[in-house]
Amino acid sequence: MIDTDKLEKILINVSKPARYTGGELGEIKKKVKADTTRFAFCFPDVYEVGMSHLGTSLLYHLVNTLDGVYAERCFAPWPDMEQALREAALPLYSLETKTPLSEFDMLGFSLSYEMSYTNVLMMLELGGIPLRAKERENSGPVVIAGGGCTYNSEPLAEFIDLFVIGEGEEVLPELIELYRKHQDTGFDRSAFLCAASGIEGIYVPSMYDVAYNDDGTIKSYQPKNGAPARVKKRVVRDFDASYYPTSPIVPYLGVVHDRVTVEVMRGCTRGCRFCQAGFIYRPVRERGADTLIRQAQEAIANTGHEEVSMCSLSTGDYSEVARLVCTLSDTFAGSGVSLAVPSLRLDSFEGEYAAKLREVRNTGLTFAPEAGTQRLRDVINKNITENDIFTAAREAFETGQNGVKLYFMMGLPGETMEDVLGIADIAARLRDIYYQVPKENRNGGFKLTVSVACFVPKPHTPFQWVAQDSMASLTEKQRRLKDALRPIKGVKYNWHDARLSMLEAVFARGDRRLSAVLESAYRSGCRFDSWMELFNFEKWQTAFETTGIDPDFYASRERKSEEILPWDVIDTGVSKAYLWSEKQRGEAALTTPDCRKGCMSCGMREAGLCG
Amino acid sequence: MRMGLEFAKTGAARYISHLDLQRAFSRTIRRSGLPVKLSEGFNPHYVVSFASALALGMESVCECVEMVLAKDMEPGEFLRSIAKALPPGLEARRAAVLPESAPKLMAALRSAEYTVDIDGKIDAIALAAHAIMGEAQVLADKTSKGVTKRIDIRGMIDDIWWHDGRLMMRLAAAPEGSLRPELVLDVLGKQAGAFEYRVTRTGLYTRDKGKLIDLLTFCQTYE
Repeated sequence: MIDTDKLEKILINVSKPARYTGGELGEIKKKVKADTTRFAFCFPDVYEVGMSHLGTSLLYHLVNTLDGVYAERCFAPWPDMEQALREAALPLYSLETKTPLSEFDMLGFSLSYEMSYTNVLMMLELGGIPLRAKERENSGPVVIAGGGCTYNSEPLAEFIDLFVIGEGEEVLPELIELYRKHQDTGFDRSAFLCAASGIEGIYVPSMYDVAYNDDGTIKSYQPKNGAPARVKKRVVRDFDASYYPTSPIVPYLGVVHDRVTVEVMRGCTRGCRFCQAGFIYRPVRERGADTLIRQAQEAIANTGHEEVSMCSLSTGDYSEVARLVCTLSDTFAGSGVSLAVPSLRLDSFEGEYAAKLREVRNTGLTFAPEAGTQRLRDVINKNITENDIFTAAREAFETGQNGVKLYFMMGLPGETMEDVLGIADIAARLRDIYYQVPKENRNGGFKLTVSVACFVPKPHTPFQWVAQDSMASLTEKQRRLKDALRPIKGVKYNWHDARLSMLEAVFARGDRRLSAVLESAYRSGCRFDSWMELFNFEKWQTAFETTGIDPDFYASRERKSEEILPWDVIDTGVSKAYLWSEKQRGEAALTTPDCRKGCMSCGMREAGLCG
Repeated sequence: MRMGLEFAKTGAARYISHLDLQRAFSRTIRRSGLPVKLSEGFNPHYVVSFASALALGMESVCECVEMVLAKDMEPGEFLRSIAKALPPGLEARRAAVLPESAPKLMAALRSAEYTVDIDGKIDAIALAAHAIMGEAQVLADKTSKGVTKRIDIRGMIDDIWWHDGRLMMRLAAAPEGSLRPELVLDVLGKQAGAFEYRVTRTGLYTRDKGKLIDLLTFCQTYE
């Protein structure tokens, strides 16, 4: 345990001290014995973000159901706390027992976005753990990582002992059991890692030798000591019966998603070509409506939360969505508990269901057409028509709603200026539709938020081979769209920083040579890079220059079909051949239907993961 | 029916801000199943009203809150139910039915008592405290929203005394103006030399016909 008197003295002077105290309702308390296996879930962002992360909450409670194992939590300290810890010579510690990270058996980092990588390094260093895996002795924790980014974890390969590929609830209990066996017989790090690589869904990067061609592309990926040539992801088979926590921790601080969440479904069958989640989380699995209703009731009774949200990639596609929404809204009627349905797909938005939702609480109208023209929506396989948007919006306006949020991407493959300006056309049409509604039915002025992200090509998608649009081109498109939207009254336009999107693209499709850039950027002070107030692009530029690594090689280079990609070692079940054929269909603006309407032979079935 | 509750806020809970405390109570009520009334309107929520906001980082054994119940119940039963539902660090101490005619706790509050644990320098601090009570004017620097102002705080110091080796203070806590104990401790520190301390709020009071009376008791017995 760290010196808690020292800790109290620094807590009173940092912002939001409740980030660093633990002790919330629902926190797991266990007695630490000599043979307890101690696991720390490390989230490389602040408490309010990490406590909103469903996967971390699920795994924290699941691991704590195991005998002889105690899982605790640790979040990235905000810069004021980092400085205070360093000045007081206090190590980074777990919230539950205030134990320094270096005293744990295992650290589990959650990687959900690339721009949190510098925080991983910060947490390791503050926790007193050598940054590079090869510098670690037999003592000290095994550093593991899981989450969406591990489907290409190469930029972190030098810093992480092993990656969990796929769904952690399948892999972690097996991994911890193996660790406990090794703990009994005297722990040897390399022997443990070698044994761990035999568990399906475990990727040990140090067990692969990478060779490069003269042009910088990968020549070969050579497994050693019996490591598998490709690491197959793990999936939960019986999703309905799989573990779900109904007594989650109730934070005192207002966190980003401050509510009870039920996980309706995993995977998505739509096959939008830009969407990594749509490919890596296949196959689609649903949880039964009765299970979800029971889980929501239990969680509200245990936590007292004021909101329930239904989480999945595409809740509108859930086969029992109408019954689920109606039953939940009846269940919580009059109790001050509201219902939120995020990620609503336009074409699944039906009248009866929308009306029921409005009874509980108006959650606003949010659509993600992603592209400004039908042609480009066909390229990316986002099967929504303008008519869908306008019909749903008209219906919402007629019932008194006046606000709409639209999400788009810029820099999509094959995009022209016409596609970009198509976004402004949609905005203008929506405004016209709003003012066609009789005045007495309108509720104030028209309010439209247009949010435009920069497209980042992601591994394991049909666009994994394409070049990202250049920063200069993205900036020009943003300016043109801004000009086109300016005359349309009531429109708020948000756009992403193209520089941040470029870095995301570098690390999303990076290889292990990028570890040098990461460490250099971290040493120069880069932290919390997804927080615009802390993002420092110049420091990143310097990091690329000093390490002699060209970011364009990763972000804006078109790959050939035969190139060995850094993430080929990871087997998601979707075949590379299928992804390539989807890329070609995209180039021809050919759409691919939802695979619930018929198997598209993506490879999952052949891999034994679907059907 | 109006129900008042006195509760303690200690340990890690002292880092809960006032806004977060309101949310913690709303969730406590929902977990407890107590028949607290929801507000009317589009976004129904439990209405709880605190006597006073406690500074972030300070512990207290005497915070007061009131709420309206949709049906009558015994304060003992209310206390047992809410005690079971409160999160760690918040502890229910007593409950009292408040007559409809009684003022709101917040409106009746006049002063708050603080108990200060001090390491060493007790003699010098005692001298400084004694001196303060004899002054007609006591100047202190108050910083609010980044602006520091020099103000006279003497009129907001009701009393300073010693009890069991601890420094006790009763300071103004009213809608017209409140005094933070740190301001008084800063003044003492300037005279006695800087010292380390830990403050706990130990009493909330009102005045009835010139007499000091415990806030919750006053509202409970109001006629």
